Amino acid sequence: MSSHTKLTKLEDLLQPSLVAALDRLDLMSQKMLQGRMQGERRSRRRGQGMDFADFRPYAAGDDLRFVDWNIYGRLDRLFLKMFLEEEDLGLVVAIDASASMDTGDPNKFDVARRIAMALGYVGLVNQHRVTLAVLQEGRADRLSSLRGRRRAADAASWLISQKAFGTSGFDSACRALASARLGRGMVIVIGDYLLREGYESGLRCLASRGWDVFALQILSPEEMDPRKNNQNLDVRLVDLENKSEVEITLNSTVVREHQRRLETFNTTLRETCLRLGVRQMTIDSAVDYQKFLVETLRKQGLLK
Amino acid sequence: MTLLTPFFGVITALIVVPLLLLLYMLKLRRERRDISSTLLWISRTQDLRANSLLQRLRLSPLFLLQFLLLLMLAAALMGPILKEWSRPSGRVVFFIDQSASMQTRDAPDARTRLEEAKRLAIAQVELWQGGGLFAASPPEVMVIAFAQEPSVRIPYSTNLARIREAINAIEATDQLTLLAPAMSLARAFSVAQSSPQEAEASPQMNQANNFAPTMQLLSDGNISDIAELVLRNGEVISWTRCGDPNTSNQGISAAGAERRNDDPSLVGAFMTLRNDAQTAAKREVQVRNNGTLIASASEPITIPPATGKGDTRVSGAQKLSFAPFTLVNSGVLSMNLLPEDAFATDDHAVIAIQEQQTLRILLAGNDPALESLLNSLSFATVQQISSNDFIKRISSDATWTESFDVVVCVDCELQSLTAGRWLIFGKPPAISNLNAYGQQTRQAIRAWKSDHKTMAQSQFSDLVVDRSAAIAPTSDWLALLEGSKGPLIVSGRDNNATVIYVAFLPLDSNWPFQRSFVNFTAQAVEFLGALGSAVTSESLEPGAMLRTRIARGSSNVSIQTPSGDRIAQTPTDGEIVFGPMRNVGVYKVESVDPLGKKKTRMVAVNLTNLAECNVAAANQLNIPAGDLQSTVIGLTALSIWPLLVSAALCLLIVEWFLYHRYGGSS
Repeated sequence: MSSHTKLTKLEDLLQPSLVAALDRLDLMSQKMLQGRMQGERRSRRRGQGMDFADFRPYAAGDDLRFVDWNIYGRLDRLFLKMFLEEEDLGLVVAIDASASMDTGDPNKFDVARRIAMALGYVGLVNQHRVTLAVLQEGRADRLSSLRGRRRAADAASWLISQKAFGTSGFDSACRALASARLGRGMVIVIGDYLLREGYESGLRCLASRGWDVFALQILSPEEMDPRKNNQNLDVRLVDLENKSEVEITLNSTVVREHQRRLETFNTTLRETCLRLGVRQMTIDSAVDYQKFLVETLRKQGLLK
Repeated sequence: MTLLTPFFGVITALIVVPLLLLLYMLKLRRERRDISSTLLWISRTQDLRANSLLQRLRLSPLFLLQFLLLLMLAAALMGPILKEWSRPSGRVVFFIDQSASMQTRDAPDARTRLEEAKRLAIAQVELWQGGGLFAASPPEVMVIAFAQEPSVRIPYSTNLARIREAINAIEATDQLTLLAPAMSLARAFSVAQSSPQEAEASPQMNQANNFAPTMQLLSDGNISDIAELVLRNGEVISWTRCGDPNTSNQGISAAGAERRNDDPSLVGAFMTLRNDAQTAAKREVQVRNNGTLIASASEPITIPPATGKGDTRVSGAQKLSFAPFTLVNSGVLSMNLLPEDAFATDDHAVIAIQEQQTLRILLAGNDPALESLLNSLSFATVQQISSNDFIKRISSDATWTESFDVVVCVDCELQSLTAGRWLIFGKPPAISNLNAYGQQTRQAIRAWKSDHKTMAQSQFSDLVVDRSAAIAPTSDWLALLEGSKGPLIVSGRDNNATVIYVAFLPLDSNWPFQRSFVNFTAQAVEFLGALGSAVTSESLEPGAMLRTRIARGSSNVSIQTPSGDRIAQTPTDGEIVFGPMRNVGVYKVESVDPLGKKKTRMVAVNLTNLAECNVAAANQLNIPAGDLQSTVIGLTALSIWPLLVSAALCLLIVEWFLYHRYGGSS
């Protein structure tokens, strides 16, 4: 069941009311990451930032610009002033763009694109290197190295132009994403993770590159309760990716069995992510995603 | 087990069972629903896939349950009943006994026998009518209620509602049980029957007899005329006994009251109690006058048990008499046996006591003995006239005699009899009923009718008649005294005249010197004076006709029955005839005489018939000629369809449980 909405402009993806709230947020990585360029993000590295961190004795070869001459005048010894270095962060937001995402009410692919736009916007306004990617047919099409608020319109246009179809080829797509020279940073992978070929290999590949990976699973209300929004209980279920069909009567026993299997599947996903050092979260596509971005993701430590 | 409507069930099964099979074999048309992945559904639904219009039938528990359920419903529609029973074809006549004994309350659930009979009859008809659209044609049913007088409550009909209504409308009576008139009535409504000889002579007619109705008798078996009953060729009657053969009864078998001759304001009452049980019974007795208790036994009266068995059985009896009490006006004396037993009808008796009354007597002719005797009667006033004057007077005024209660004629040459009550001595009146043909001499007495009111307490064996008229009355006249050469006292009617004729003059015999002369004359005057009602009213039996005299010119004549219904009457020749009376109690004859005075006469009706009061249901009916099937007529046939429907509902619940417990694919 597809309820794909028409996303045509930036405001469709990122509502003005949300922009003000996002302007105050920044990404928070759980890993110490080395950026390519000096950015606005305060890193743990001592460097050339504005915030004082410590002193240390001068060693030969040190940059004389950082010598504290006041201390030298009082103590007649050379000390270097050390600052917290400010560096940029690589943010990759990857969306599963397989046909399976084009289902649900609200549409999972729409919700994924809105969340991706919001996270990307947070990255852009904080001068991080933002890369948007869609995982589709084993490839990872991307819009790379965006920086600055003015690139938000480009990001929105690119996301609006994306369509969900075919299979994701999750494993291959993740490998393709990992092999791209995107530097180190955060990777947020948004999808439903209902993958016949599995997801572990793809996530491992991303995590092994030193990226701080966050797996965000979006399920539609119908996937959580198959009888929701459905009067007819005798249905022919059609898999949008491989077109396989299942005829079934959605009585309470069958639904209960399905929900048990879904719970097991999600538990396996959580355990796999925990094992790989990947943060994971599952949301309903009907979630209030503004509240989700501003409150839930801050509690989860993805934003600050 | 019998199936009432097998074809209906078979047709239904032939339709619904293949339909169920087809539904299971057809691929279910399902709504397409696109989902992200069938990953979580595959193992669950693999066995439901079908790739063709018709799929292979999979025997699931649900299918078997549904199959069984449909079979049960189809079986229920066949109308199965448990019993060796078959629906009669053609016509059925229900004879429902509504006699007095059917009011005995010994049927289950404290019902009377009549109520039980009606319930059984309705249940039987409903059973025959059951079966729905495809049921075989139910028989045509006629209902005849019978006691002394049969009545067709509904002619042959298949309309269940009307039959039920007709049966429910049958009311209880207190009459005797006569079945033969009811059967005659049924035959009149049926195909003409033939005697065995006629049937032998005419095979076609014999074949017609095969269509004789099935007769269904619902009765307690106490049928007075069972010995006279003859079933015709082809007639079969089935009897369903209503009532308990062990029910015993105590009741009032006789009751009476009389004003004393020496003091008519005093009334003496007596009663006889009867006990049909094998053991003595104790009952309380009360006597009430117009509802006021006037006498009561100080302790329960013991009624001795019945003796003997079978036909020689004699009921126990206890006679009671009560001290005379004063009653100047008319009244209703009720005698009650308490507490009431299963048959309450004979636990009560009523006696209508008329107002103290003086008879006006006209004595025509000269007879010193009669004159002396009539003048000595305390309840009569006598007017005397010579025979010649009398003849002249009635020639000019034919209604004159009617203004007297009794006209006593001595040796008058009457050419005809005008309306009135006549006691005639000597010369016979010139009426054809008597057929006077001369004279007889020297007669002794051969027999007399001692049970007639006029002949009671009299002995005629010493009477010798020297000279008398020779008469040969017609058969509708009653001979009260038979002489050695012909009747000497006769009683009968001629047009509007009620007559007791004595074919000799008292002085032509030794009668004036005998006590019977006084007794007869007094009793005859009393009897004629008010047709027996001058002093007390006689008690009639249910089923009898009420015949009473009404003064000419009376208006607003009506009869009030014991139930309170008032029925207008039109007197004919100064007399009304009403009946037969259905129930015990007091019937009031009311009228307004020509002077505008309201007149009321009460007639008591009591059930004292021993056969009807013996309420023990018969063990068997012995019809002298004919085929009697003394069986319970299949009225207890057990319908099984409710059980089958209940079982089908249980199956439905099990199926529902399985469906939700294991899902549609199980």
